[in-house]
Amino acid sequence: MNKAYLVAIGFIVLGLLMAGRAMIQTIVPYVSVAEARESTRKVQVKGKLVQGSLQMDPVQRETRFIIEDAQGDRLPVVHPKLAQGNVEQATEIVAIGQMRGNVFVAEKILYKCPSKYQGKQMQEYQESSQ
Amino acid sequence: MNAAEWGRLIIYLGAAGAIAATVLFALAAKQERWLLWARRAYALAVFSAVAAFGILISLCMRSDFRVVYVANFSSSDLPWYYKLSSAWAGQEGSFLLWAFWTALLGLLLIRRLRRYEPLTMAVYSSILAFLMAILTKQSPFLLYPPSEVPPEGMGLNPLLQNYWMAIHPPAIFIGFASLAIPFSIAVAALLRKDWDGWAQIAMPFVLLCWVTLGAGLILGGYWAYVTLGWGGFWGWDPVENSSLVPWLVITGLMHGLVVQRHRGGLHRSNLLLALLGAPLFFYGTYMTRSGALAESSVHAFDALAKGALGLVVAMLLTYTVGGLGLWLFRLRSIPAKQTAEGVLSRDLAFSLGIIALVVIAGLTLIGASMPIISYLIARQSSAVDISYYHIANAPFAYVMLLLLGLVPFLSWRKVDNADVFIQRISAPWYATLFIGLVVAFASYFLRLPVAVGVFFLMLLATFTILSNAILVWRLAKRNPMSMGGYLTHVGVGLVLLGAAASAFYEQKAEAVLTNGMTAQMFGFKVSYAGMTHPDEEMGKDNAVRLRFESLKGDKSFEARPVYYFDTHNPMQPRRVAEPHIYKHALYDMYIAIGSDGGGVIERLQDPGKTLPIRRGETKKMGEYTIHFKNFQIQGAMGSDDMSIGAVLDVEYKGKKTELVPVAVFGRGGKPAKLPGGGEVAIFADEINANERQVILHFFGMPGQTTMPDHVIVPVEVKLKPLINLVWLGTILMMLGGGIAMRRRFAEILQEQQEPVAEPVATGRKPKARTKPAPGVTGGH
Repeated sequence: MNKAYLVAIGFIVLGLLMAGRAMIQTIVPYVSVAEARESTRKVQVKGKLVQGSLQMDPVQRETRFIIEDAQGDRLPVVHPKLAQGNVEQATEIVAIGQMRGNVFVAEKILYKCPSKYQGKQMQEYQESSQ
Repeated sequence: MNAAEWGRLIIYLGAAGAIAATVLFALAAKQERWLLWARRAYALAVFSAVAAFGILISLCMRSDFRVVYVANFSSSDLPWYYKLSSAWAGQEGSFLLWAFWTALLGLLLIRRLRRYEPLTMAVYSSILAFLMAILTKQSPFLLYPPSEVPPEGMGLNPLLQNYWMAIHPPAIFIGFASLAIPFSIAVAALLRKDWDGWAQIAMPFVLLCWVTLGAGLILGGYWAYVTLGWGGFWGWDPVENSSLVPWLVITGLMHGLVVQRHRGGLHRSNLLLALLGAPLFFYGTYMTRSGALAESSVHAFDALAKGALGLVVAMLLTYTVGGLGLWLFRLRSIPAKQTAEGVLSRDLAFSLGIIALVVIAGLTLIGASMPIISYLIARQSSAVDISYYHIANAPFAYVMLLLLGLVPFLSWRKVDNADVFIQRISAPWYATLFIGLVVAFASYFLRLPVAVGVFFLMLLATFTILSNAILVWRLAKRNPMSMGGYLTHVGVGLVLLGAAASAFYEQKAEAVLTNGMTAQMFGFKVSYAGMTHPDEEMGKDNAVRLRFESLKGDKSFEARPVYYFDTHNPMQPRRVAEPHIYKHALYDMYIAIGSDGGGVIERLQDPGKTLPIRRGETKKMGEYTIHFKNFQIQGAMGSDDMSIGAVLDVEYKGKKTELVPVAVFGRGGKPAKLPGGGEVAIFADEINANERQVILHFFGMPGQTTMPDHVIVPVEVKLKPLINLVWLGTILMMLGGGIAMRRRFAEILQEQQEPVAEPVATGRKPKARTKPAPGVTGGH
């Protein structure tokens, strides 16, 4: 009887340790552009869309743009799909992904647009992911 | 006074009624003479909630744009069923829907409570009072000042214009509302120090909660699958998680109550689980409505008004602290009886299963709360990657599936002989092993991808399906009312098997199509066949027509993934894309424009031919003779929606027609169709007002060597094998839950008709509880 409980408790402890490890591995920290350049893992970077930098390439099926963080650092971003919605009007973009060479490859982008569905002054994030 | 003003007043009335009911029911617990007045106050609250909801629906149906809520979420061109669903599309409306169901469920509850009525209803009414108070702060009945009433509403978000989305919120909100029932009964039980009676009353309501919340989750998943173009039905989104977590806890509670009924144990944990369901949902409400998650979820609502958010926080704290505090205070007097008598017993399997469910709920909750937790620690909210949920939950999901497979062959008492047990279990066990070997060999020879974790999950799911199906088969003839649980477990196995197979063995093909080009995908020749609404290509309801013809030539169909610009708000036109799903018994073909429903259809750059022309001039262009008559201006000068049209008389092969190409400031424009093919367009930045000159652009004229319909369409097709198992599984789960719910309602009805309704504490007679599959004690 006691053995069964011990096995069960042992299993739960082991499972929770694995879950804790998964949490540390999968958390995607918020970093500045400077930190993103140095990082080797998946991170998220928030910044303003640099005016006129947005390009959508329907043949390569890529969205390319440059973001500028609060420190004024600029980062070129490639999102390997054509983003849905209105990235052009985004006031703020969160890019989630990893550096590949000099370019930040964003598997997911969240962008904040003046929202239509929640009243005038409110804003919402839209999402585009690979 | 107009209807909206009545609505506001009625909300206040309802809040007053619910507060009065709370006080009066509490008084009635001491002195019965208050009971009648308490019920009257509750009736007032019910009347108010129903009337307020009715008024909101009628305002939405009548497109009364004097009301801010209606103008924000509806428009007059919507069909009636979307006008109806705009009543719960927004923040305020969904709170009112929640209050509406809470009030109505109370009527069902109050009739089954008997001696539990005063205390339970006091707690329950207080929850309704909170909801009504939130609605006074965040009212759906706010009016515009008369001078600012918009002529037209903003319309319903096109993603919500889907019939699944019209029924999903009403269903899931019954579930959310019903979470208050086990909570209220558990509080009453703790106050009454009655450790068994409550379980009996709560059981059917816990099942009601499980079925409605489950159905809501499933409908939401199906909506995501057919509309959102995620390519999946579950995305571990904060809004999904905030419904999943209480549902898992309620699942645990449901099983705990079965153990308590049959073996007389788990009193402490059952009360705890009953007290956790509602606060967990309040927490989810706080997370998704406070704006705290605005940076990590697409679905999270915008921030509530400050007063309303304060009340949500107050509600969360009151019921979390109150419930857990009371439980801790009474903990020592709650009986703690050992139930499990042996390793091979149903008791132990249930206990472990409940632990696995609660751990999965806890890990999911922590993952979903990460943005808040990391904000508190590091002042930057970071979410976890979706893979966290899979990695962290997997070991517990394996254990749960294994237990689900073993349970049908376990008895409530210890199995004396392990050999007998092994003999019973051998059929599904060997069948699973056989299937596993076949899949393993097939994977090797067909070079299918292999992952140990996924393979293991599929193997365990198969085991669960087989062993529960055997029992369902046996019970179907003997005692169909008791097969609910096993049927549900078959469903759980099917859902997980289908989810694992469709995600892991998914195949993807992409192609960029244009007119006259074909691509090969999954044994089909695919070609672009134009738009369904070529004249208003980007107008509402437009879809892309894609011909699919099998290479063998025996099958063909036309896929029509939806693709248009929603221009309801001219300030923010937005692309709307929905996948087309081709259904086959063994797989779905998920056909989308661009990847994951993302892409854009681009017009090829066609330089075309240009012709500057002044007002009053007549010029020739190819076979056309063009006379520029006048400008046509719409909208206020300098505003964003100002548009300028050039009125042209065009003569082609002796026939005269008037054409008006239009340029809209900031947004391109609308070309006019030329007789004989092609089109003529003007652009705002080329209009010279002083010279009264425009530049006409001719595209695709007869004789010009461009393709007549020069668009490029990125197409993505995903083949999802065995996805139908997921839908079959969800149907079986709901069917099983429904059967169990009917059984438990029949049970309390019967027991309440028995003259002696007061059960003796833990010493309840175990009647006919030694069979491996307990029969119904009721009259079935």
